[in-house]
Amino acid sequence: MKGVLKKEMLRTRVNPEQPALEVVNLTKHFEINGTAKSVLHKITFNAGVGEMICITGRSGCGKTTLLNILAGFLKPSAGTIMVNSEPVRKPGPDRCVVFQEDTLFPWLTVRENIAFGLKGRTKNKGYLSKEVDRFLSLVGLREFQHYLPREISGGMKQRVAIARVLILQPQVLLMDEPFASLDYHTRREMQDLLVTVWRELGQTIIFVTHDLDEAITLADRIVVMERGSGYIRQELAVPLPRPRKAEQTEYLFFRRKLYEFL
Amino acid sequence: MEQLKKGSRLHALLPWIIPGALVLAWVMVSYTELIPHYLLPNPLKIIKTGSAYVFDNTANSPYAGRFLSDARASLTRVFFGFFCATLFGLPLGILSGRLAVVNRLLNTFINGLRAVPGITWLPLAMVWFGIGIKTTVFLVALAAFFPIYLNAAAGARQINAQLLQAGAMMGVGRLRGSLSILLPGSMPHIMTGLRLGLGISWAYLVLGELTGVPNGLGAVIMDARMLGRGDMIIVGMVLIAIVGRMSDGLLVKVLRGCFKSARRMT
Repeated sequence: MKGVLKKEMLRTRVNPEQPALEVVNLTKHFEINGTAKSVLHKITFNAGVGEMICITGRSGCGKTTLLNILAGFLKPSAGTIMVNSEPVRKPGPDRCVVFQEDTLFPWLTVRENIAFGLKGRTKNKGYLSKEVDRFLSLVGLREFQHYLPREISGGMKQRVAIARVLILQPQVLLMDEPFASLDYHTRREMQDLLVTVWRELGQTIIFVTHDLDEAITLADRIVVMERGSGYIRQELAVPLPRPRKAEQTEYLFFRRKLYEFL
Repeated sequence: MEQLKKGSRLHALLPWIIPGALVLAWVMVSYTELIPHYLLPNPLKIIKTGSAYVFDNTANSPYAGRFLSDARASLTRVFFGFFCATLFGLPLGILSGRLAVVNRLLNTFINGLRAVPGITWLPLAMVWFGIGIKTTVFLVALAAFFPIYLNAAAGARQINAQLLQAGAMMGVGRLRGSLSILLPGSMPHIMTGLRLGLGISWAYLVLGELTGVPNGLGAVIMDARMLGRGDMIIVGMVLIAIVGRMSDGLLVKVLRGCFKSARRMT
């Protein structure tokens, strides 16, 4: 284990000491028929710069609500969120989201979808075009750049969804079960792709998933949420080298441990 | 539905059986004079009148060669009426589909207005605007407004909220969000509304032109009625149908030419 840890330290821009995202005492309740139902209860955690955090828990534990609040789509009832020490108030390109469902613009081609966000920021067409090319290649979609979303597969759509936000170089990337509706093999492919891209760009990633294997495959740290009460049950560091294989003893160790928490 | 083999002779023939039979019956009735000519004119006569109306410029008959100037007059009226309807209907519809305040403000009023049959505006319009282009444009605009407004509202209301969230998280502001997400996202509905609006424009054009304006396709029909020219009435009806159908095709072409969303989503 020691050797493993060392190698992991070498890898990079990961700097858990310097928080990219700080969540403090985040609480959310919804009014349902006049009674307040607590969904999140005093959630507190940090994500260091370049860290990949997986948030997991059984359905109904509030993980999607948490992500929506981080994104700024929902207002918290109490608590604070800071990105690079700036409080979060509304959605913005410092916290880009990859949604679970297909939310590409159906009237734009793959290329135009990827260009969409950056187009609003730069007038320099040469730069825009070069950046779009770079991110098309990064997610392996150059041949498909002129296709419309309805003409490509679910996996490809999620590649576009990832590229269109990475091009904006967000501080934090929020991913809401982005691979949940893909088949097994595509999902594995996408996980590998995500790790590759993440290592190249060094984004901080908050990845919500209900799939334990996905969490162990991806995460530096796993945050386990308790079902029904909306608080954090456990945090678990996963200091394994990548790529991770499900047959490794250490992997199985983490799997068993995580299973106990849920 | 039981399937029909495509490409078969029956498949090609089927749609023409009823119209063909009707024309045949018409020809027979008219040659046997079962129904007098002034009620149902001879089809050949209609073709002759029609071709004289469209192509002849020798002024051999009262209607010879008038088609172009009539069509131009009618198209102008339809265009202005439809344009006004779009100018108000589209933005108001989109606003009311997105903003509860606007919806609450407008809905009762517009639905109340919609309950008034369009035709009943005619007398008031004549009092206000007199006889001429203004009355017709007013009627056309009023009638075309409702389908354009309602469909734009429906389009804006049903847009996938996550598309707007996606825009917001990519840092897209209100104005750009409206123009490059909301508008294209509602395009299929908007297009339906515009096409319905244009269709209704032609109906109200005829209504407006029945009031005694000297030119226009609707005016010709009314004029022909007074002169007892059944053949000319039918020519006018057919031409309005053709011009209306062509304007619809043109509208679709223009929208597809101007908007990616119209090209790719409809």
